[in-house]
Amino acid sequence: MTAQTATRPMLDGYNYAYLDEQTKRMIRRTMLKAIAIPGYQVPFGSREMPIPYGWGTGGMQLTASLIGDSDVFKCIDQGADDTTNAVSIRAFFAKVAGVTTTEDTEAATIIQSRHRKPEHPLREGQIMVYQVPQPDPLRRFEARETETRAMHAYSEYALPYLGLYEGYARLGRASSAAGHPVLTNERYVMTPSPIPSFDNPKLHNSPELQLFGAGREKRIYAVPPYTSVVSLHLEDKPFETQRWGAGCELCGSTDSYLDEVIIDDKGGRMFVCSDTHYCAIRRAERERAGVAPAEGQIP
Amino acid sequence: MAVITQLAPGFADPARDSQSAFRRILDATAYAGRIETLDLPLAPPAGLSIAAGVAALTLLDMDVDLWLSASLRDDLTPWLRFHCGCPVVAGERLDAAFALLARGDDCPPLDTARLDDPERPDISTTVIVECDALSGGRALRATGPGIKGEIVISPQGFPERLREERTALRALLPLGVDLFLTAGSQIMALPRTTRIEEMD
Amino acid sequence: MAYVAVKGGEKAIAAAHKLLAEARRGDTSVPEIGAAQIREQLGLAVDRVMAEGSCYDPDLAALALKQAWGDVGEAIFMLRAYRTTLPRFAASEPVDTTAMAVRRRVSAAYKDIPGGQILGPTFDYTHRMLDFGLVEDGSPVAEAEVAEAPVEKAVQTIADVMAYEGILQDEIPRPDAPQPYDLTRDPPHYPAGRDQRLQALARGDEGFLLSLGYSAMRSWGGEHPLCGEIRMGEVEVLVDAPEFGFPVSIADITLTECQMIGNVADDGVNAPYLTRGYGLTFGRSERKAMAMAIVDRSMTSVRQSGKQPYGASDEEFVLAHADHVEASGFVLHLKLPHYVDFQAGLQNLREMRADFFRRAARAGAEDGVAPLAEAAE
Repeated sequence: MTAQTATRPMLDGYNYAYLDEQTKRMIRRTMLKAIAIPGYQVPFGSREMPIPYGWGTGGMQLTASLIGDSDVFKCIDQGADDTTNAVSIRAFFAKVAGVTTTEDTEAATIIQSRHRKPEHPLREGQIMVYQVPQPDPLRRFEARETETRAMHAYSEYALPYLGLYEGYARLGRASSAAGHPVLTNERYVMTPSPIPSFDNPKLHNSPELQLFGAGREKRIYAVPPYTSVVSLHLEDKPFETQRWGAGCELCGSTDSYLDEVIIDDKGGRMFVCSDTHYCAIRRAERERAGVAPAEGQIP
Repeated sequence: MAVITQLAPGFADPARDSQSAFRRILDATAYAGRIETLDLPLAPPAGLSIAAGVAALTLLDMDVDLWLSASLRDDLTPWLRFHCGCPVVAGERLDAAFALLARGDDCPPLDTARLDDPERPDISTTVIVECDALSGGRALRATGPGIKGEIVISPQGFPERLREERTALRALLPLGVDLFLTAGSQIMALPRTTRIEEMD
Repeated sequence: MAYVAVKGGEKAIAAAHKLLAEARRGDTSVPEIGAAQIREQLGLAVDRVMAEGSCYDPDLAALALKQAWGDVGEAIFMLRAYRTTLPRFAASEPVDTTAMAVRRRVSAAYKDIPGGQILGPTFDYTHRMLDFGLVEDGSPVAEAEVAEAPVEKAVQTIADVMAYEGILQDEIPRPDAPQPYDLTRDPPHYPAGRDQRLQALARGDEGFLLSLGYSAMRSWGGEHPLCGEIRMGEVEVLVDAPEFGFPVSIADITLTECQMIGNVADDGVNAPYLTRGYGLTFGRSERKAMAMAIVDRSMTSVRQSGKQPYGASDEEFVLAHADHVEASGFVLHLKLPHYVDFQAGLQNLREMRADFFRRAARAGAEDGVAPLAEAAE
C-alpha cells in the first residue's frame, strides 16, 4: 500500500493537469466563493472532460485545478481503490499531471471519492473531493431550478422535511439510505453526495476541507473545516445510520461500512469492509498480532 | 504609460507558480484567520505587496473585472493588463468581481459590492486589502467556519471603517463580502462567515 | 470457493481496451476504413459530429467516428473533449448567411422566389429502395450535369422577400446588445435569453430536438409552422484584425440554415405580423436545422402568449435535457458500481420486510392462521 510514483513524463500537447490555465482560474475562484458560503451550490462553467458527464467530471475538474507536483493523490469509488472508474481516474491524473498516487488514506493530500468517505479520520491540510451526480437536495421534490434556487435563497425548506415525514409515515423510516440531506453551517440544506447515511456524521466539524463537484449539473460547493453539518431529522425521530449484525468477515471491524458479496448461487453471502484500504491495514495488523485470519479468507 | 520593456515580470512558471500560490490562498480561505506565506520571487510595481501581486496573478484574468484604488491605477494597470488581461474599473461603487485597496486609499462602502441578489451570494466582490502587517496589531477574536474554536488575529493597518462595515454586513448573511488581508509576502483570509470581535 | 479480496480492476480495464480495439477493427481480411473515406463518404455523419461537437473540423470529426466504432454519440463526446483543450484566441464576426454561396435553397412559402428553388444534393425525392449496386466497391460514380447558368451570387432570403411588405417579425440586432452568452464557458441560466437558447439547440441532440419538434407540430406545447426557407452552402468566417484595419477571412464553412414561419402575432399595438423560428447547423444537417427552428419558435411563443409551458415550449425542460453528451453520460453512469448505496437501500428493505412479517405473524396468531414464510436471513 505504498505510494506509486508515476514515471511517465507529462502528456505532450496538453497543459499540466489537462485543463487550460483560464479554466483552472475560473474553477479556483469558484472554490474560494464556495468556501465562503458553506453548502451553497456555486454555478461554474464546467468543461467536457475525457470521461463522461456523470462519471466524475466535477470531481476531476476540482482535482485538476488543485493538484501540483507535491501532491499525493488517492481515488476511490464505493470505498475501493480498485473499482474500475477509480482506476481510470487515478490513471488519468498520473498521465496528465505526473502526480504520485497512493491507496494510503493517511498519506494522501487529495482524496477524490465517489459515494463514500474513508473510514480513517482525515487531518488538517488534506482535501476531500466528492463526486456529485445531483447537487441539489431539493431536485427530487421540485424539477425546476428556477424554483429550487429561490427556495435556497429564502430558506424555504419545507419540502425535504415533508419528504422525511412522508418516509416515516409510509415506510416507518427515513426513506433515504444514501444522500441523506444535511443542514450546513445552520443555513443551506445540502446533499452530502450519495454517500450512505453511515458516512454523514463524518462530515461534521472535520479538520479537512471538503469540496463537492457536480460537472454535468455545473455546480461546486464546499464544507470548510470545523463546520457544522447536521443530517436533517424530525424532532421525535433522531437520525439513524446503517448497522450490521456481525463485523467484517475479513478483518473483524465492527466500525466500518460493509459491502454484501454474493459468494455462491444459493444466496450465500458474506460482508466485508467497503473501505478496502482500511480493511487491508486491519488485516495486516491482525496478522502481525498473530490473530488467525477470519473464516473464509485466503490470506 | 509604461513601455512593455519596462514592465515588471509575472510568474516565471505560470502553471506551477499559480498552482502553488493558489493552494496557499485556498488554505488561507479554508482556515480563516491563519496567516499563509506567498513567497514567490515577484516584484510587483506601484508598491504593491508581493502577496497582493501573487494573488492578482493567480486569480485575475479577462473573465473578471477589478476595482483598483486611486494610488494604484496609473502604475498597476499596465502590469495587470499585460499579465492578467482583466478589465480595470474605478468609481463610487465596488461593482466588480475583485477589488484591490492600497494602504491609505479610500474604498467605496462595502454594501456596494454586488450584494443585491439573494439567489447569487457568490457574485459579491472579493476585496484584497493591503495592510501594514498581519500581526502585531490590536488583538481580535475570530470565530466561525474554518476555525477550530477561536483564533486571535492582530493585523496592523486594517482600516477600522472596513472592519465595522464588515460586521454590519453580517445582517445580510449568507450574502457578504470576502476579504483578503495582505502585507509583504503574507496573506490572511476573512471570508464573510468569520465573526470578528474585540477581545474582552 | 472462498472469497478473496482480489485486486484486478486495472488489469481488467487494460484488457477491455485491447478487446475494444480488436472489435473495432473487425475482420482483418476486410480493408481498414480510412478517416478520409469517412470524411468524404459518410459526410452527413461527420456533419452531425461537428454540429453537436461544437467544433468545425471534418478531419477531426471523421477521426472521431472511426475511433468511436461508428457510434455518433461517442464521436461527439470525443470531439467536445478535444475542443476543451483548444485555446481560444479570437471571436469571429457573425457569419452572413445572406452572402452564402448557396448550393441548396428551397422555400415552402412561395411557389417561386428570386433565385429559384434549388434542390441541391438531397435525399428528398429519392425512392428509399436499397441499392444493391452499392455493395461492392467500384460502382460507377454518378456525375451531375452542369446547369446552363450558375446560381446567383447572393440569393435573396425569405426575410428580405417579406421585408417588402413588412409582414415578417423583425430580428434586427441592437447596436448596444451585450456579448452573446457562451455555454461552452458559462453554466446555463434560467430564464434563458434567446442567444443561450439558440446555442443550446445548435449543440443539442438531433433525436431529442426532432421528437420535440414533432410533438410541437402535433400541438404538444407548440404549433405547426411553415418552412419559410432552407439554405445550405458555404459562408466566410471573418475575424477582426486590428493590424490590418479590416476583417480577415480565415475559413469557408458549410452551414444549413432554416427559417420557420410561425403563427400570426397580434399584440394590439403594432400591425399583425408573422412570427418566426430559427435553426442553424454546421454542415448539411437539415433535419436538425428544421427541428431546431420549430423548437425555437415553441419556446419563444410561450413567452409571448403567457400560456403554461410544457413539452417543446418548456424552456428549462428542453434546454436542460438537450445535450447528448450530458444525457448519455448520466444515463450510462448507471453502469458504474452503486453497491454501497444499494446495500443501504437493501438494509432498509430488509427491516421493512421484517416488520411486515412480524405484523403478519401477530395478526395470524390472533386469527389462528399459520405465519407467512420469511425469506432466509
